[in-house]
Amino acid sequence: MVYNTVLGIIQHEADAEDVAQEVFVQVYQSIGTFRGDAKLSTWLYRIAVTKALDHVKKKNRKKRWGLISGIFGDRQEELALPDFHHPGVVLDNKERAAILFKALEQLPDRQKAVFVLHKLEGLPAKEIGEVMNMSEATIEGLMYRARNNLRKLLEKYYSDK
Amino acid sequence: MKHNEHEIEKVLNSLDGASRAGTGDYFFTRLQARLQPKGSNAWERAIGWIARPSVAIVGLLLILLMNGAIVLRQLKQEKSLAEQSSVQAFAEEYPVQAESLAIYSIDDKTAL
Repeated sequence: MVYNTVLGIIQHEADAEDVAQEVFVQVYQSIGTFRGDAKLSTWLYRIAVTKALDHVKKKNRKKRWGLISGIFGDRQEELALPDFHHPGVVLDNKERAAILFKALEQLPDRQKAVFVLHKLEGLPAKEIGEVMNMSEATIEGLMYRARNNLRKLLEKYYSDK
Repeated sequence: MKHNEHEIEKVLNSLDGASRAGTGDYFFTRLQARLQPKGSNAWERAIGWIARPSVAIVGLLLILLMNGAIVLRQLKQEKSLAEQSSVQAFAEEYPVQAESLAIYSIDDKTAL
């Protein structure tokens, strides 16, 4: 569940393994601070989501720095990342899921996390709320906005095609 | 347009029924290796600290410095011992006593 959540947010298998390891290391180090008023799985999801979003932010910062240094002459060859294929998606949906993941990359952090937890982990809004320290209504709002934004991005994708 | 909407709906639902992704074969071995240094005991930590290049080099220099100091001290001691023994040998070779010196001084006075 940790790796699957992290992979859904990061969309890179090797990086997702590293971040999942970081999650377990943090769990190992801070298990003493776990008070037990939430479920252990909720606590694990919370750490996983936080670490994965931090990783994405760090990566985006690096990308931006690469662009800036490219403008000032220190040009680095930018590798075009291949489309991400989630290993758990059935073969018939592989291509469609890759398109969805590409669009998912462009969503704001919280919408992305809510969508991944709901679609990939099958968590209900109430549990996602516990993971993200938000009310159920807020999660439903985020879910609605995520779906709307994805729809807009996909409409653009298909109209440009 | 209608075709696109239908396709978009399919894309949005493409993750339905997806199974969980699993980690690679060596995930837990790597995780265990990563957790190992954190759980090691005080002795292992101390050995690890001593084995650091900076600590090891400083330690080696200290030992060399102490060795040098001890050798220098030893040399000085030997030198003073040699001087002492030569004075002693001289005194044994030519016994000079206080009485005999006193006689010389009395003779000198009478001569005057």
